[in-house]
Amino acid sequence: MILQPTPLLSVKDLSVHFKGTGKLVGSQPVKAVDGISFNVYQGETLGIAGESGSGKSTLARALIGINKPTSGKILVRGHEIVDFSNSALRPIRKKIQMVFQDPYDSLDPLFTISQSIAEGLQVRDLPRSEIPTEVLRLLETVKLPGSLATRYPKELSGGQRQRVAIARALATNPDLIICDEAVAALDVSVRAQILNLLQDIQEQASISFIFISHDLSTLRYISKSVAIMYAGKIIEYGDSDAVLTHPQHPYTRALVSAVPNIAGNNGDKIKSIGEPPDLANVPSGCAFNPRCRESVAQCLIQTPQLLPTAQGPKVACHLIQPIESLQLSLGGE
Amino acid sequence: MNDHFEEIETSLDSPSLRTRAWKSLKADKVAFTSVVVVLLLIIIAICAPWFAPKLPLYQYPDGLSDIGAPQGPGRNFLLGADQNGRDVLSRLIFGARVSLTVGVVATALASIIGVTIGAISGYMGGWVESILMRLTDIVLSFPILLFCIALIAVTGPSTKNVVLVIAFAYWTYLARIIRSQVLSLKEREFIIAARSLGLTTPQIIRRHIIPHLIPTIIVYSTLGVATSILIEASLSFLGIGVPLPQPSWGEMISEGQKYFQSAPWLLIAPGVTIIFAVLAFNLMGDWLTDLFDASSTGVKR
Repeated sequence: MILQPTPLLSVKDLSVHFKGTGKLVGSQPVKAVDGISFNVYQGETLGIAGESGSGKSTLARALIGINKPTSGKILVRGHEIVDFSNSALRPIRKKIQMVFQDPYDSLDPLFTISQSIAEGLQVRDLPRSEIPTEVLRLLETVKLPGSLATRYPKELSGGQRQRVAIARALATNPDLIICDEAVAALDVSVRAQILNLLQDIQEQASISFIFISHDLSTLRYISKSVAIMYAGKIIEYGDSDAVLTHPQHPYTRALVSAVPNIAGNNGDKIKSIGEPPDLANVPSGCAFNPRCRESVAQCLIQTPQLLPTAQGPKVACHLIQPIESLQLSLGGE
Repeated sequence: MNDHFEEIETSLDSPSLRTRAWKSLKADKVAFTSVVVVLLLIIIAICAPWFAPKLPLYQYPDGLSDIGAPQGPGRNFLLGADQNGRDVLSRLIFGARVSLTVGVVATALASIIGVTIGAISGYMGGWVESILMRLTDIVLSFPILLFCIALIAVTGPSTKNVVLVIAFAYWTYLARIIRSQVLSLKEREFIIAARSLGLTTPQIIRRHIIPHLIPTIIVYSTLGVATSILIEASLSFLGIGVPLPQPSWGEMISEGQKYFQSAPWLLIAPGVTIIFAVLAFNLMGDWLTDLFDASSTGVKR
């Protein structure tokens, strides 16, 4: 057995359910995140993909303590942070920061750029006299001119604002930065600059990232491992090259085939059918079964487990042979 | 060609609130008039002794005719004299003091209570919100005049009671408006970012919520002054407002109506004053609403 170091972040069987909005008797809870487990190691990037409403953002908000988990554990360097009261959580919470999707909304319009960044420094209890130099250093890290320090967010472009948001996240000296669709609102050339900036920061400071996106090519570019979410569950999880070049789960295959190909090689596109499921009323068995072309009777009854496969990634699908059963059948011969 | 370069460049920057306020005042004659009237009222109230041509409480013997009827408007008494021979204009000027003091103090009190309760209930949600909002509903359902009559019956008329009653009635409106604003503010990403930075709830409310509420507070305070002036006039008219012999606009109408047929100026002068004062504050409130509305949505995106 290979000895693994303690993961920086370890999520175990995490669920976030919301009470049904209807006042009618028997309204079902919305299972936005349902029994998710994964690890993130120091200096590593985990990509999380899935369509709208698959629970990606709820997962991110649970990790920074905005949404309270219904059950499960979140461990930071082995310390559990779910059970802690709010104030005890604060020093650990600072170690996990988030960069948001909308750079127009994630900075307080009434704060100057330096005030926004300084807020993260004040939380760190940095003496007031050191704050200006530190703000300038952070602006330099995100490759922004110091002259922007006294400007207001409305005077900056989308890419510049997103750099400021990254600088603010860095101000607390975080171990992990969650990027929730952080480049989705930016145009392609700016997107590449921000992705490269994030990679530079990762190399220098050995910060881990969780990169949430619906854009598979971005994920493959930036992340080492990737988790595909569907209806609040992870349905495929493993090395990003393996998952995204040889997808096994029917849903992942449909997602990957939906990526536009500039070579015009779009002939073998798998047409997805139907809509994402209602999270208050998830189909029985495998949640994907109503949309899956290959579903069998078992898919309607039994929820598949996320199990390791011979190719490496873990997959939750009845049609894919897990590695244990292969070994068992080999041992039986 | 190059002459325009700087001009274009400066026009690209969105103008500051002060420049925009000045511009819209120059363009909008109604707004301009209302601001001038409000400023005049404030100056007159503060410097009442300098503006008043006579003493407001002194009963001038020549204010009454030989048969004891009050003198009409003329050279000696610009707006006439009242049934006791007092100068109506001077009483109006000193009455502005009472009306504005009551209006401003009551509104300030109401704003402090309303903003605090509205912000807390909007931000905290849950049972805190339920309790505070039900409390607001209860106060809203109070018949405010009856409540005031009962209170004065117990404590006796005083300016302090008038202020307290008006503040008690008005904070509920502010609390509701502020709460709805906070509800939408707290979902904004910069608030979530502040929470993930580890700021405490009081810090977030003070630094990121209250500053965004200031336009609303200013607008509703202006409208609140107008409402307060009206309530004060009503209370004084009913004889439960500011105690005698202090001149107040409502009390002047109340006294004047007895002599309306022989001395109509006793009624017209304070009535017109109240209408203009309230109208000016309301119009200024409208102008401020437009001004702040433009500044919140006119952000370049």
